[in-house]
Amino acid sequence: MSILDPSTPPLKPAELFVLAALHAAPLHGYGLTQEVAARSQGRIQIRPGNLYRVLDRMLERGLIEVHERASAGDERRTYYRITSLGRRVAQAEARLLAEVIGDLLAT
Amino acid sequence: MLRLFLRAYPKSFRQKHGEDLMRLCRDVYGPGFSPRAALDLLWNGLRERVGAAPRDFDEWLERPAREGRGERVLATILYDARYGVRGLLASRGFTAAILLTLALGIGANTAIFSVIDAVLLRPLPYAHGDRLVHLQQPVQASSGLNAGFSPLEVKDYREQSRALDAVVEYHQMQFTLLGGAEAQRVETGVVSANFFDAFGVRPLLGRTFLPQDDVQGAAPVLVLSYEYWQRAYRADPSIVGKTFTMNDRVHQVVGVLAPMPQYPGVTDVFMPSVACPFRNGASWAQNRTARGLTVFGRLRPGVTLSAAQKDLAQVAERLHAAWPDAYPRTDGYTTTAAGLRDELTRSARPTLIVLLATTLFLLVIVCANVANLTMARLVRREREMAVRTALGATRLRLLQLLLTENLILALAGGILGVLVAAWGLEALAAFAARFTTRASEIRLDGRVLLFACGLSLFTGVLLGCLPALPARANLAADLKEGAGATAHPSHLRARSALIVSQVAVSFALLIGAGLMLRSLLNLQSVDAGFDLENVLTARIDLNWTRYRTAEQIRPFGERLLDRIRVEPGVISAALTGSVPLNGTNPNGAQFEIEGAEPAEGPRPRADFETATPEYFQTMGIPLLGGRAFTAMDRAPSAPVAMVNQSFARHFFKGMDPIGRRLKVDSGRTLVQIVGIVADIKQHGLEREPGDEIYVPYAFTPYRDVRLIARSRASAAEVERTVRTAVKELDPQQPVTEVRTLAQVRADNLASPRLTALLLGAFALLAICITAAGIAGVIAYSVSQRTQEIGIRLALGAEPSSVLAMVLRQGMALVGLGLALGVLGGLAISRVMSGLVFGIAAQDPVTFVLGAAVLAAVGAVACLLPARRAAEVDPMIALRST
Repeated sequence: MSILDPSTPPLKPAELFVLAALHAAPLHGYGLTQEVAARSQGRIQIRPGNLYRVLDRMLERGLIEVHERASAGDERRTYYRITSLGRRVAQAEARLLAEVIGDLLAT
Repeated sequence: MLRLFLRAYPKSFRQKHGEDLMRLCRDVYGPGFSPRAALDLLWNGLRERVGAAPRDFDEWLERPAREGRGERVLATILYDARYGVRGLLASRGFTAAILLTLALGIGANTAIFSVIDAVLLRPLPYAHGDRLVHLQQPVQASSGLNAGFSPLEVKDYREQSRALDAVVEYHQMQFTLLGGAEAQRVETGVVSANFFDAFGVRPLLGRTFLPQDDVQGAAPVLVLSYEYWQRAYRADPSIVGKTFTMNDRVHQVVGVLAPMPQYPGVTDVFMPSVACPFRNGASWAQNRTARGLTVFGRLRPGVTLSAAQKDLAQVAERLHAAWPDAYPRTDGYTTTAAGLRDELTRSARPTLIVLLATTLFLLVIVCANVANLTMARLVRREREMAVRTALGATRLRLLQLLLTENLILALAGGILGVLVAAWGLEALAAFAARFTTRASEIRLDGRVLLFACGLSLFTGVLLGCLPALPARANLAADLKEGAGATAHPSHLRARSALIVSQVAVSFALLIGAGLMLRSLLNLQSVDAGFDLENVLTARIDLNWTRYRTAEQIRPFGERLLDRIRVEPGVISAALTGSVPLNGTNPNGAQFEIEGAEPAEGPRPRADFETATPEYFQTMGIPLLGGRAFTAMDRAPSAPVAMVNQSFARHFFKGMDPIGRRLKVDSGRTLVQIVGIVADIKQHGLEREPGDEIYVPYAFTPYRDVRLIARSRASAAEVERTVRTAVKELDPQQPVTEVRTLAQVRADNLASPRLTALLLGAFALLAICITAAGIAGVIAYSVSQRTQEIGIRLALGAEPSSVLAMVLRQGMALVGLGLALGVLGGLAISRVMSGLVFGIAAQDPVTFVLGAAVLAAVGAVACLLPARRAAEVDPMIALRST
């Protein structure tokens, strides 16, 4: 999969923020929603019902992967981490955005 | 509990993320059930299902094991649907042909249904629509025409009728409304205060009339019609409370009506009856015979129309006994009531029923054609069906497959049909508006869509079941190599039967269109009795507040004529009371012939018309005897009159009427007949001329006149001249209804022309579809018989005899169809008997011509495949065994 491949849909804002959150450390679902909300200053709130749809799509595209099913107390939670492809895609997207943002801020 | 909502997601998703998702919901929404969490799961679950559908669908369909019966059935249907869609996409030509015919058939039916639903089926848009009746007072002496009611009669019926709980009146006036940007001539509906309550009409803004608005001395108020408010005030919401001057009094707008059919007339503003200066003048309000009001009643709940009729007859009997002078026995006054709904749609009904029959016939042709195409395709798929049967498919299973395919086709055709209907609806509504005010209610709504959907389903089921008709189970023969396209005689028979029915129905449609066309040609060739080239007409309805007496009106008219006559482009100009071909009923007034024996039966009546001396010359109406009016025919000379030919024939029976005198104006005036003119079609092209008495404008100047100007100049130039001249004489005087006589005549012909056009278009469509069907079936039959034809040719048959053989075969079908079609033609002509003019509905010329046209089209359609048959190469045909 290549980010230059025009058949690949561009990252949606929620996906970009998920990648950004996982860029720092692997997280489980609840942690992800919290982190995304914090990083976007509350602008992006992924509803629980939607989160796993987003993650499922990203898993399929190979942007993230299941890190481990860790036990916290008596509950098993699934942790996700970013793949190297995910990292590259996120960075390419970020560079693209940085250019646009730089232009916008300059004028 | 929340787990239940988790099921909104597809199973594969649930297996992967279900546990995590439930935990996350607990973390975010808190433990236990929360509606927000449920909604979140439901919404996103459905989104996931929709998003995943294309990906999972194929996989799900192919899965061998099914969880339950319901899922199995669904899977079968979807499987068949997918198979059907693929098959239809593969044979694009076939699919396109079917979709096109279905779209036209369903579209035409949907469009006509939407008109019929709005006009004939739906209840009136008034709250009490089904209880409203139109009261009428027909008078035998004036050929049963409704005389209307006088204010005194309205009061009597209101007080005495026990079947009606409301009796309201309406009449229409033109008044000048001052206070807007410019003086406006407005159509004013003068109504009882409870008129809107009786109809159950609510205002959009403000209020309607209250009882206290309709008492002597009440402040004048107005209610605007929705259309006028939109048109003249651009839907200004602050209109309520504004004041206008009308009839020299200040009127305040108190409300605007909601949109609804403009009935009984097209009205701009409404005023309570007490505010109309004429209705309340002593000559009208206190005169029992000053009739002319339109009156409606509302049946008490539970009272039938026939009970109301009886009740009204009793009241009428009492009134007739109490005032015998007002109801002369010889004139034959009665009082009746008719349901308002019937009244509103009566003139539209015959045309709409003919159109409905036409589109239903068209649908039959469309179905036959689609069935024909389907069967042709089925023949090509016989091997497929045989293989399926060999693999264990039951007949029912095959039927299900075909049914699904046909339903898909029919529904797609239905969707296209709705588009076709939507496209044609505006034009159709404009057409219907010529017959009924309810045309404004025509729209594509849920009911119409439901109809289109039902029609599509019906078509689909019908077509899906058709192939099941020819029973056959010759499995072995079908599976044999090369047996792919062997003929099943039953198939050819079924397809031939379809062709026969198509020809029959096309013939009926052709008869309908032909009758309408011949009738239109007849109407077009009617001599109106006057010369309608280069004549402009305009209505000048003087404001009564400033033109009260004959002495005020006459100078205006005469000065206007003097002013216009001197214009270089104008040849002559005149004034009269009404434009010919106006579609109104004769306003018969009574007269007596001086010195004549009072005849038995009702007193004689005739139409009275005012005319200036140049009227007959301007209109090109020939003078047959005596003289026309001159400028000398004015007071103080003796009053004179002219009559038309019909009048002379009816009342003088061969004697010379010139010099005889008529008692008119209830015997108060004696007029001497000085001239006879030819008849003209005063009331419409299709109506016989009535008996006319013309009186000089100088004696009876009408306040509301039509200016008639014959000119060398263009109509636009003359119109400018007229408008300038009127403005110079009275800047506040509007000029309306400016039309040329040619336009008036064209308007008279518009409805029959449109009907003929519609029926003609449908018939043409039917013939094209039928011709394609004939060509298809004959070509199919030829391809089946290629070998046989090859043998014939090899044995020495002439190609021309082969051609003739195929033609004979095709024409036999056409002939049979025509024979059956005569029955359909007779049926449609019976429905149309009220619409045709100048021919019998069973017009033999139309039938013969129709048959000839269809036979010719059939022959051409057969000729193509027949020529192919004649050109068969015997060597190739025999080798392909």
